[in-house]
Amino acid sequence: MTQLRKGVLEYCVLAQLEEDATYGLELAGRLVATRLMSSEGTVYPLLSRLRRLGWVETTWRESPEGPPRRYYELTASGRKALTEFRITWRTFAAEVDSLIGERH
Amino acid sequence: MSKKITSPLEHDLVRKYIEDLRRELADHDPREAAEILTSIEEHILDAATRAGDISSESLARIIGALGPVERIASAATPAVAATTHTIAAREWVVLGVAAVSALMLIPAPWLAAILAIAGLAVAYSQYRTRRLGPIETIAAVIDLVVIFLFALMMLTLVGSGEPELRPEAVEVVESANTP
Repeated sequence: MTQLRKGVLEYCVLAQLEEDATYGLELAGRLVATRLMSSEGTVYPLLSRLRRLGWVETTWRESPEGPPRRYYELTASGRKALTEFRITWRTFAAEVDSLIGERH
Repeated sequence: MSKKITSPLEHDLVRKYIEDLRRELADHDPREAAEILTSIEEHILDAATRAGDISSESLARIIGALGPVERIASAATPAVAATTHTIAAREWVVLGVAAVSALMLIPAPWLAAILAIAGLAVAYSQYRTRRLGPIETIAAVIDLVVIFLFALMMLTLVGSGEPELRPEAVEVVESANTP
């Protein structure tokens, strides 16, 4: 289950960045709230890997609360990867559902 | 007088957390490790600014939410196998030096002590950047035992002292040339 969670987490991060660029603290808080991630710190190794894959890029923006913040945003190849994952995931989830079904 | 802390990154709690994380990430991809450390520092700064509080309690909460350093490191990419092999080879060299120092304790105690101190210094420098492996830990324990035994030997020698010259033990040799 842990491996499955790890595998999909990268795409959940991409999905969180799909609409708007987000800074680390905000993104980490959102993912922990969904309970997909147990602690905020684990988002940074993921973001670093996504950046090196070229799926995410960073920019600095002024913050109304304090020093400038590093914002993470999706690149064109990140969007493409997310779109491809959505198709794969839906097929995979449907197949798993048909196999394990639901017991009443 | 204690120094006034102006940034959360100067706080002992945060410094220890960052140092522990740096150590945990030592065997990981160096560029990724550097990026993670910077991001975590930014996160702490941002969270402390938002909380408007850099007290120990507030920083402990921020660190608690970040989670254990081991968990962060486990999500990072391990370094290439070559680096791991280099570390493994270095561990065996350190153990070899410790074994030689133990064997030299009786025939050449000073050499044994010097080797053991050098081995401990290497182990300490490794410990500052990453967690010691089991082989390095065994080597460090051997080095410590050698240094302890060497110190014991020196204390025993000093304690027994040089034999004193007693007047009755002095043999007076009369010279034939003495008038």
